[in-house]
Amino acid sequence: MSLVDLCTFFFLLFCLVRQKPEDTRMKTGKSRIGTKAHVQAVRERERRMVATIFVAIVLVIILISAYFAYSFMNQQPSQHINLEDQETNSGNSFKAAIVDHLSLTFPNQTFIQTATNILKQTGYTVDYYSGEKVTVDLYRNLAKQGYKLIILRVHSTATSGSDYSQTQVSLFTSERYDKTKYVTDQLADRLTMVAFSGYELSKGNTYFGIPPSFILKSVGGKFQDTVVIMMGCEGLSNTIRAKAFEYKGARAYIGWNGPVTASHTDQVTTYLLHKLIDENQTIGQSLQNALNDLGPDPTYKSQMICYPYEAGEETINKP
Amino acid sequence: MKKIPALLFLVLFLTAVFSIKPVTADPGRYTVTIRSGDHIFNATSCVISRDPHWYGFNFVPEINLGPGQEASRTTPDINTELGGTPTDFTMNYVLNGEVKSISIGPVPPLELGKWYPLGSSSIPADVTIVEAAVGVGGIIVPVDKFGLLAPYIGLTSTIVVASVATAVYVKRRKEKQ
Repeated sequence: MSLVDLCTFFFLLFCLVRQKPEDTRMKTGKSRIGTKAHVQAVRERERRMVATIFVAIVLVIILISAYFAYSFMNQQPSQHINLEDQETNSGNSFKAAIVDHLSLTFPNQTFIQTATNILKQTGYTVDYYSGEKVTVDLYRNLAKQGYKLIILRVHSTATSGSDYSQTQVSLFTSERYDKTKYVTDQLADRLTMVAFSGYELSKGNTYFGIPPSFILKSVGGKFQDTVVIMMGCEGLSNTIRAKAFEYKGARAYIGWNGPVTASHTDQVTTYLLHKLIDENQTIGQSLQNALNDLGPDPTYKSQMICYPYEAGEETINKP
Repeated sequence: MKKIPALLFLVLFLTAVFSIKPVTADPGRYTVTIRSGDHIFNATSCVISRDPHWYGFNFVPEINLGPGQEASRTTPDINTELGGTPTDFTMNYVLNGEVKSISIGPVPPLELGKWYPLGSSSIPADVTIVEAAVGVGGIIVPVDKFGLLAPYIGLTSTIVVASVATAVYVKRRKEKQ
């Protein structure tokens, strides 16, 4: 039964029970009461009516407040990131995370293995999050994990599907979009709806997206001089997302200034890690060498750049 | 008291309005694009693939004229619509300094992933449309905030209506007695 049906039912119920008091009195043969008493009765009736409506409104407010309170509490970082498939990391070790949302659409085990090996050989411990673990809560808790390096191998976009205009970059989760989940975050524009394409959208395949405002306001904790490598499309087509990471404590944010293909972003990131960690080059040098040796993306001509620009002079922290 | 039916009508109207799903962009119309720099190679049919980054679809044709022979594309981008009228595609390219052309179609209304036979060709080469070089992007879809709130507005309206109706009913019952 829809809401409209329900309301119609109550309306009909109301119409049925509604009868004029004068008619009732006539039918029952009661004599008319005095004017003063009648006025008092009317006033009393109105007072009761107002009281009833007031109580009803209060009840409604309580119900709605209870719902929103429940929703709010339900979306707090209630779940710890599942590390069951990962190594147990000691508190003071250098930790890196590979968030591999692309494992669902463009799996590349070679990239994961190579990146993990480069990091481990330097003394990093690596937490790997496969695509199905890339949820809203994963992003919510990411800053609390103490990572020095985060590799976001995720779909991302700054393209609005309605008019192709450029907007803030949203990272993809693998969590299906549901308008009844994270309602307060959605209403506050801290979560978006994203789709891989218009075709996928037409099939109803939509997911929760993470805009910069989510990083600013919904991510708990602070990054600890973290370097973020954002491998998805348009990660640095504008600096809003980079600034959000910087505000939350990230030291440098590396990303593409336009769309990028899966193969090219894997190739360049592997190269970049090699230069940054094995050869201890600065971020700027590594990016320039990657551009010189591998070129821009062959399809979209985008390049990997970093923010803030001064971070180009820095190197990656090593154990 | 006489205003209550009008109020109820208003509540019903608002509930109905918020229950209507907003009209979104027509998902049946997409742009098909052949981009400069694309290639064509041997095949006997063509298929439309999609590029996940963009809202629509794009052709990525390749040309293969045999061992040792390469062709460079000169054709400007070609656009059409999926589900539209039958369409001809003609692509020009340069071979040994000479501009050649190859055509596909006319094809029936285009569908994603369906293979289409080749039409006439002015050179001895076949054409296929292969998988696009895929980006790791997507699109952001605006969230319908009224849609988010509609269930709660409906619930609130229902509770208010129920409360008022009950109050009126109880009051009338008491008056009757």
